Amino acid sequence: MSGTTSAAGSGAVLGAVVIFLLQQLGYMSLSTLDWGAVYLIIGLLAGGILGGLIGWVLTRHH
Amino acid sequence: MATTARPRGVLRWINVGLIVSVALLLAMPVASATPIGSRTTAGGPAPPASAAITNPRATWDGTNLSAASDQAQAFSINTDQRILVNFTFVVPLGQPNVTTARVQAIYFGAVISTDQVGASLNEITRDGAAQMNWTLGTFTYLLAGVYLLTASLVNGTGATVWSESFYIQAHAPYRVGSGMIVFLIVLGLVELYAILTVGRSARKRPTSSSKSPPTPWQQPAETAEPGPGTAAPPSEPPPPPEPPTEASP
Repeated sequence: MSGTTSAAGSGAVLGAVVIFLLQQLGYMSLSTLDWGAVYLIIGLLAGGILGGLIGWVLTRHH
Repeated sequence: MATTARPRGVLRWINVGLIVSVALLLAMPVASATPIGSRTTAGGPAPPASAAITNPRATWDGTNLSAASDQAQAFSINTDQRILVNFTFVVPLGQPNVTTARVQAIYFGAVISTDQVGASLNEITRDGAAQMNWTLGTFTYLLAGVYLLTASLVNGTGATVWSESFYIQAHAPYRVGSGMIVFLIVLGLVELYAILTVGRSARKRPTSSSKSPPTPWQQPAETAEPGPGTAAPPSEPPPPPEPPTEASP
């Protein structure tokens, strides 16, 4: 598994963690299935893309 | 070699464990919808109210539930707080009696807890009432944040005759004093560490162009032949041929 793929996976998990953390801190509601799923998918995608980019940059830099 | 491979292997197993934890976290609403003590399960959010009762009203510590119909106006509570929920209603003559008052908490569209109490009815005035001391129950030190709750009244036939949804915002002690928040912070830090050490792992990873460390049987660099793969394992020099011996008489 390349560094970029590994970082993208970790970023996706981190994105989901951020969404759950925002809900636990009271900044958003995940009560309804539709909006909860939308927020979670946005977190997964954004985290995965950002993590992949950071992993790609770090791998190239080293 | 083993000392550098071990932390990466441990980190990989930690990642697998954490991903499984997130999957369990997502499955929690379904898994927790089982009877817990006095709590019972329900099939889902209550259906729309019918006209089987009149003047239904429910209060949350004295405030009407409609005051928190929006997320921005959610009732603010502490996670270990006990809330008095009051139900009042009037059952028209000829209608089935209301027997149960219920409050359900909803997460990702699934009912994660149901609290219910029996309702009393004055047979003469047809006025009914129910009181409930609501808490987060088993989630007291586990969950915090904004949740959708549904209060409902159920009659003797099992039909929901009235329901109203409202929001609550549960505050954990010191803002981070719930199990879920601590777990999420630890999980986030581990994943952040995994991302930031990707470059270091790539630097340590051997590539095809890098030379492998010399093996004990390789000759020193100045005497070794150039080019990879020329060094051969040492072999015993062939023994000198023995001189022919003549058989002694």
